[in-house]
Amino acid sequence: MPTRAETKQETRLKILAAAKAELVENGLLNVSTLEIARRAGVAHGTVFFHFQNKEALLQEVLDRELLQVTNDLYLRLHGPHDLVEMLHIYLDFLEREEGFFVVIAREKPFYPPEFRRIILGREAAVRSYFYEALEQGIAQGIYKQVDPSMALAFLFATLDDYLRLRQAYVSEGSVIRARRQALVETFIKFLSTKE
Amino acid sequence: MSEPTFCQSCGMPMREPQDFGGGRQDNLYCVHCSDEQGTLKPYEVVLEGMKDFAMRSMGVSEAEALQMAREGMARLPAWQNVQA
Repeated sequence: MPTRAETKQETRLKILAAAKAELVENGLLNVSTLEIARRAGVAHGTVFFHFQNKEALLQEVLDRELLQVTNDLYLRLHGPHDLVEMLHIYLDFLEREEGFFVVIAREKPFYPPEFRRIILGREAAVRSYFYEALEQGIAQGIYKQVDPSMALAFLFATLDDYLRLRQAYVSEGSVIRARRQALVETFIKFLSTKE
Repeated sequence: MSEPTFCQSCGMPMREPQDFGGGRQDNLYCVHCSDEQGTLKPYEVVLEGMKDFAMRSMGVSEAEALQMAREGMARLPAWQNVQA
């Protein structure tokens, strides 16, 4: 028989999962706590028993989802790694969670600053892994002497554009799947010291 | 592969001994947030480190990076009682 604490935690996780699903379907800006409660199969009041308000709930959804990216990358990338391999690991993740990241890419200019900074904070953690790999490659003469920060800004801005304007790039299916090979090849070609 | 724990000061995943402050795998804090003995650095020092990290990784302005660091740290256990 589950303990009271376990039941409480289970309900909390159900609400978070429902909030994420609601976010992916309707966008964070249009999220309804009534709909979240309905999806989670709980009373509306139960949502506010677990979360102070709608903003606190959405902050936690964002934080948890983005934490997954950095943890996944940490577990797979800890130690010296090839930049191409790292890019594909990251693109695998984006492709798997593309619905979520499309919503974030489209809406983030309109988010309250605190939400925007949660997203930027997690992205900074992701970029730091690439920064290290790029720095190593530059030191080894594999990549050109570029500012790693700026090189990554180009890469992530392109990814953001693909996600934000997905329907302009693909009529159906994943934009990441459609564009990833060309993206990786071009990025590495720009950086590589080999002709 | 074992799951990482997380630095309670900055949220960085820690799994290998060199990730942990003082090299101690029971330390709550990472190598960046601790001194050589593994003791947590003062708030202002960690804040400055996190601000620099954000500026370097993201290229954001100093003001934005400082706010990111403040708000990020405010959500972490080590800094719950600190007035930022």
